[in-house]
Amino acid sequence: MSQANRLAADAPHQFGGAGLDRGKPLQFRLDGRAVMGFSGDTVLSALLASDISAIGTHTGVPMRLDEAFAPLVALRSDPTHALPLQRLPALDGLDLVTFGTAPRPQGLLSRLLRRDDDRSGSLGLLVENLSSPPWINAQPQARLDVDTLIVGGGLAGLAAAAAAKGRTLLVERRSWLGGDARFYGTTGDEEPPEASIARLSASPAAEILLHTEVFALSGTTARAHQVLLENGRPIGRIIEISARTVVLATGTFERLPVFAGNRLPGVTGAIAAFHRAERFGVWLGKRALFSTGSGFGYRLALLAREAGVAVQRVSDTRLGPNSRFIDFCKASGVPFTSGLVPRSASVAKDLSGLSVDFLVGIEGIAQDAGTTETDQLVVGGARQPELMLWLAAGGATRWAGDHLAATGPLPGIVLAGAAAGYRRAVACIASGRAAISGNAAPIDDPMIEAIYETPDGKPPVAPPVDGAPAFLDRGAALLRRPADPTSLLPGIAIGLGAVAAAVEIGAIPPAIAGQIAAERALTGGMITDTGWKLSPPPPSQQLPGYLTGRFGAKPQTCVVTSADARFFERGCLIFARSELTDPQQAVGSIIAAAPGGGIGGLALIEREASAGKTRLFVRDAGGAVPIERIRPV
Amino acid sequence: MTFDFAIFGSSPLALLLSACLAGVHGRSVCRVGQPWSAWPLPRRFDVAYMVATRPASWAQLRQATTETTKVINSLGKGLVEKLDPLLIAETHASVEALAHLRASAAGTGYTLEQAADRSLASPAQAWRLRDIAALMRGKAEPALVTWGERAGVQRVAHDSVTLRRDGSARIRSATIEADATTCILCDDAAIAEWLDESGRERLLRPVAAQTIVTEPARPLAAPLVRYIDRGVILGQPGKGGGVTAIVDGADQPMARFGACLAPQGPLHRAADLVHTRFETLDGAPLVATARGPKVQLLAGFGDTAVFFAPLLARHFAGVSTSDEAAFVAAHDVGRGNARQAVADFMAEGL
Repeated sequence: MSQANRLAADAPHQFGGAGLDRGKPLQFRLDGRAVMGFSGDTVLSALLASDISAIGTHTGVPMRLDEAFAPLVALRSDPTHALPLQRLPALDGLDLVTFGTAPRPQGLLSRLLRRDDDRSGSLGLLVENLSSPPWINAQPQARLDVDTLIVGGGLAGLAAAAAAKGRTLLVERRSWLGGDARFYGTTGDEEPPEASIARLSASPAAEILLHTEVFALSGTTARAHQVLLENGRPIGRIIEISARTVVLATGTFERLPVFAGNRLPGVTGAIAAFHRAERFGVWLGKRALFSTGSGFGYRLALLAREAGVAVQRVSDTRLGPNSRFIDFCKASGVPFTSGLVPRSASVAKDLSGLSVDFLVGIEGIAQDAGTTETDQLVVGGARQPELMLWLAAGGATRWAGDHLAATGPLPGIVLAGAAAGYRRAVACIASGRAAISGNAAPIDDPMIEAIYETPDGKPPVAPPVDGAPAFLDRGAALLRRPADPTSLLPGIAIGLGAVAAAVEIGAIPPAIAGQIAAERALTGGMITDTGWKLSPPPPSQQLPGYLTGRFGAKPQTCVVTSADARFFERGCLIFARSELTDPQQAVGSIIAAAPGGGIGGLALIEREASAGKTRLFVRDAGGAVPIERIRPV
Repeated sequence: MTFDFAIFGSSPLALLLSACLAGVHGRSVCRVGQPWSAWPLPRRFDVAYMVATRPASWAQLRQATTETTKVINSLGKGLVEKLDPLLIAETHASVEALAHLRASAAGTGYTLEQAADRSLASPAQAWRLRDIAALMRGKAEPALVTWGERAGVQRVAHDSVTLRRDGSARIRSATIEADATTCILCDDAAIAEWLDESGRERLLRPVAAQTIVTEPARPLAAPLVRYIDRGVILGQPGKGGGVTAIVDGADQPMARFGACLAPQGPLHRAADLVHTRFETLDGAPLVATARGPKVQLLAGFGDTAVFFAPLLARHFAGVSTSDEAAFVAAHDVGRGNARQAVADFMAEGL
């Protein structure tokens, strides 16, 4: 399969793929389909390069394949061993199958029948059948004890690693260091991100594990899943890491803007689009349309244009924004508009790309702003600090205007960088250092004045479109925008992006967004029968408290029998007249079987009633039964 | 400006009590609590049954349920519906209590049927209660909020309220500056937030609890299954939806929950909330004045709480019937009051 979505090897700004070795082509198979790539690719990047950008369908809707939502795979020779497609290096000769789904038949007829799937660039999976990562509930295969565990290899994590003393481990899920710093570029006279990354990475203080994702954190003990090569063969292993201090430098993620069709193949987040191009030389299609609420969307458009992408337009969700990048766009002839939000994306009529409807996004006005066909819609979303591990460890969050921010301390755990709310590179680096030194002095994180750089816009929320689902988040939760924001949430764990989106659509009042995040944003966990058994207390000989005072202050305990020698069940009520049924008029109750297994039962009866000559009746399932004999115990 | 009442809480009881006091009794009311949303996990199920053995409790519940169902269903269709909860007793003590419960409930007009469950070993028993009223979560609360708002109930944020020792409150926010004459703490979260241990009635005990939601699962044996001795209540509002469990007690809650779901096989956890419930030591509801700030305190009503709201509203408005006044007095802890007369079953070890 050709690599139709690969940019030129010599594309500027390293958009030929800084992580690739184009001199080392490779080929692997996934579900029998041959996929080409280069050394340095992940399986995901090679699939995207080969124009396989759909995972399959969900309730009939095509779903995109991306860094946040991809199936697990396994070696055909070891189909029980799941590996994450995003973190799995592409290797020549790999023969992979999607994990947990039925293998694709290899017969001629089957291949002919699924030809359309293969041509359409889809893995052809039913999203409903995808497995969740089995390692979340598995036992660790390795244990490490370190002084400091740093989660995240962005600028803050690298700065913390460089400053750390003692045994330090830095884990990074991606195949590279630097986080999203390269996407944001340089502000003012700051050190360029590449230079910062090189400088901080050069410090030898920490051991670094790439392709490793921390998926659980309890106290200062983390569990991570690592993909590594063993005898040239990819394997996954679970590591339990105990640390004295955990630095969460987990950065931010780009939220999914809420509009119909926001998870179709061809709709891509701006940060994901940047990394695909810069690391792997991958760009979906030839034409691209950009929707952004910040200056960085313009920057990406400019870089893409210089790398050979036909940039059709940059649509800004803000009205009349200012940015140095807008000035660059003007100078470069990149068309742009402002005050427009994507209303919906749909598969183009000729199936060759996307059809994107825009809407005037000014409050109170909902006017159509035309339709554009494109190969890729790059949408910049609001930034949300990645705080899932913070929450897993018991940390709290609160709504901070347009995102959930961490609040309060956690013993042994420190947030750093963008996860802690810092924006500028210098502040992220300083906060990484401070996480190690314990220096609580405020860190300067100046923003460019609004007259020069309009602040990032609030995430736009397009009105619902009948029959076209809008999802609230990326990832596996697949939570659609509810038709009625007051409807209950189904039984699914959701991410912080969905919580934030739910605030934006009015499903969650901002005051309780942190509470919802704590309840719903879980990093996994299974409910299983562990063999727990009830340990019943021994039967008590004492009269239960609930019978106290029920039949007078000094009731009589008696054995009662009937003429037909029946056994009375516990709980049966005793009345002074046969026609009475109201339990409040009962004068007694059967409280146990008769001693020695005899007929009748042991009763608790009002003293006066038991001593009186009036006949009493036990009411059981058969009706009122006269008591023949009362023998006090 | 002075409110007659400040109702503290966000539960359906708090919503309905506020609305009744304002809408039926014409009192000025503010509610100190969270804005309503369908997304937070429930701390309780709102269902009109209880693990109680005393005939008077069942009689009062039946009367209260009939009235409350009528009140709530007048606000919209399908806000209160009927379901058949399953009660499972597994120890001698709880099987015995269940026998007395059956006699009291059946004599009061409830229908109970023994249910077969092969997974239960002697002496365990399972009984199904028929046609029990249940508040439809997600539908009923917005209707209660709307009714309250129409009747003039104002919601105020908790950080704008100062509680005074005499049981009144000062409310100061950007939009309101007011006093409230009588404060009523309606739910567990309000008690935990506004009364420290020294101010709580001695009869109250905090119980660690956890609400857990699973991914969609196979249908349970009933829409509500209560394992009395395990301290676990399972709810599944729609067949094949996620199971919501409320697990009482801090001892191995996940293991106890897992044991209840053994036939389902492993299930993913979808949501989780650790919270505190306040139960009474004698198992009976409590209507009392707190020991610290002299606020009114409602606790121990369990899942039935919302169904007592109209009765409690009449009590606070001073228009109770004599039976209702006797019910409230019996559940007070005032000097000379014999709580033994209302004490009820409590499962051991939770």
